[in-house]
Amino acid sequence: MHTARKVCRYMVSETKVAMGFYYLFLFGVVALFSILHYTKIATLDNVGGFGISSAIFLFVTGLTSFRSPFFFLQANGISRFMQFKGTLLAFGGLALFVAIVDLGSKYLLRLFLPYQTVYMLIYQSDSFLGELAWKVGWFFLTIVLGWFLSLLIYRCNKTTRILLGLSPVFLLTLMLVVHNATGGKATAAFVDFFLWSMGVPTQNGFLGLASFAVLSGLGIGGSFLLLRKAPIKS
Amino acid sequence: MNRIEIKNLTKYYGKTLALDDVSLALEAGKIYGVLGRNGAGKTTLLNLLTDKISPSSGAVHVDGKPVAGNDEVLGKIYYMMEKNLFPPAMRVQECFRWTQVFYPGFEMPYALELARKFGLNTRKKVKELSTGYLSIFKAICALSSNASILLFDEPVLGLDANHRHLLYRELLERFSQTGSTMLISTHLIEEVSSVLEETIVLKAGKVILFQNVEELLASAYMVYGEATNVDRFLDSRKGMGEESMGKFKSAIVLQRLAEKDIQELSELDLESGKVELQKLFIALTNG
Amino acid sequence: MHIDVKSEQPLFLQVARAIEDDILKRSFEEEEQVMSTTEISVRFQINPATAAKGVNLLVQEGILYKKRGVGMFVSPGAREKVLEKRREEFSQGFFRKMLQEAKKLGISKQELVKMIEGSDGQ
Repeated sequence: MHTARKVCRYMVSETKVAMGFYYLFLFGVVALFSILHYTKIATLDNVGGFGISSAIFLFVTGLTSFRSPFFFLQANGISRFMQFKGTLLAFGGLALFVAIVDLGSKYLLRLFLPYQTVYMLIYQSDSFLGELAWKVGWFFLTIVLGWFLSLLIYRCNKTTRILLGLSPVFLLTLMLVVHNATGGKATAAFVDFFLWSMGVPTQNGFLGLASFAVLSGLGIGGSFLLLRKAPIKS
Repeated sequence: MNRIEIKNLTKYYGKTLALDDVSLALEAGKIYGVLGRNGAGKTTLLNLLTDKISPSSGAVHVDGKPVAGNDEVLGKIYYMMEKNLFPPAMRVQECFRWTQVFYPGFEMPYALELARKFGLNTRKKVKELSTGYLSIFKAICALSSNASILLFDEPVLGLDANHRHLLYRELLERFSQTGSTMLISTHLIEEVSSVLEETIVLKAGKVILFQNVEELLASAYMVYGEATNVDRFLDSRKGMGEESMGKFKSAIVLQRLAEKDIQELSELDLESGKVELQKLFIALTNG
Repeated sequence: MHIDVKSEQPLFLQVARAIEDDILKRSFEEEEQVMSTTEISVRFQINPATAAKGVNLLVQEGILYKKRGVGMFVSPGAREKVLEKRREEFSQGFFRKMLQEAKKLGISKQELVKMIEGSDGQ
């Protein structure tokens, strides 16, 4: 439906400024690193992980992609479902764009820096398609998570929000208790499962991608449920 | 044909009943007034008409198609809300451009012309607009949208007398050009009454009146004179909105003024006169 | 043309009377175009349906006629029609009221006649 594309257009245009600043900042950092490396002021064995900063940037983008657009789209007679569709379209596009830029910059940076991406570190692989797919999945997941979190916060009343804010503390305490109770076995099992789902022991990037897809699906489903009856609050 | 059908619309906010089994059929191409006291359910009704909220029961249809989750139908309606939902940092000009994206029939030259007439600086950011200019800005978006159905919730909020007059003028002008259905919800009843063709009056979530304004005003009159005589006159008639001023009294009678009434009035030395919509409204919605 | 929202008369009647007044005053001559309903509506801030009702009343009485696609025009003989209508109203309304008021104030018929005769200068 072309309305979804209009929503997508709006969502993308709202991120343009933030994205501009982000890449400007990144450019500055890369320039700095390059100068340090070439002038031998500091020896850098390995530079990497700009993918992580992009993930953080996208997470924050997701966080800010609900409230203000929701109000504006409501003022323009757009249904919640269309907002949902259009936003996901925009997220897909953004994830793809950032992944391509990230991947592209990897090849560019390798020309004058010992640059390694997270993907390379985890899967010991230099496959272009594999890395691209993995990155898109990873970036898409982070932006969806940010969005889901913002919807959660929006829909919750004050007390639930406080509980939500305290939940990391609860979770950590729980984890510690379980760890001690099982003499570390539960934690080990959990870590093993996590690494397996990421395809680390099998060096299978696509397994990681599948995990990302599952988690994204959950995030999207949850967001849909939260969005469909979302009231307009002050 | 853009006919609006409201069937058994009910809305609960928790335990509070905001709208109670409202059913209305609104023909296209007319200007309707949605009148009611604070909390009577006007905004709730408008919100339900545009899927901003979901009904507890009942439904709204436009041309037989439901409004709920239907972007095709929603695209035919522009709702000027009392709340400001526009991004504070966005400039008026930019808001116009986005409105044009979502309402492809939006007429930019017309919008800019209206902005000029009202003295609205389109380079200003939404957060920099006063209450009055916020209303003006939103009203311009609505009028320029070219939607077949326009809803206005308190369009003259914060407007000075000159701007109110200008807004009603532009509204009538636009109505004459496009014939869009218009629903105006406002407290300033007296100023808007001559602009309306039909009026809907809400009281505690129920529709207590849905009538052509002229017919309504023609089927009621005020009676004034000495209190005892007025009471005598009201003996066999239903009076409302009674107001006493010392020895004298006035009241509204919801009936057409007939010959026998005129006779009795002159016998009792009482005067009769036209009721103003606002007085009638107050009498109907008190208590 | 003058319309008072607060006046006793229904708005559409006021519209009709105002146009009639203009015809009497010769602001509009025969075969001349009068204000369109839109113009009346916008100018006096009244609903177009109301303005149309007033105009249509005059069309029914043969005082105005409609030229399709152009607008409303003053019919031939309109002024005479309006004069006759107003005269009838005068004798049935105004005049009667004056007699009633005079009776109320105890003014005799002879006194009334004297007043009328003495009002030459007006």
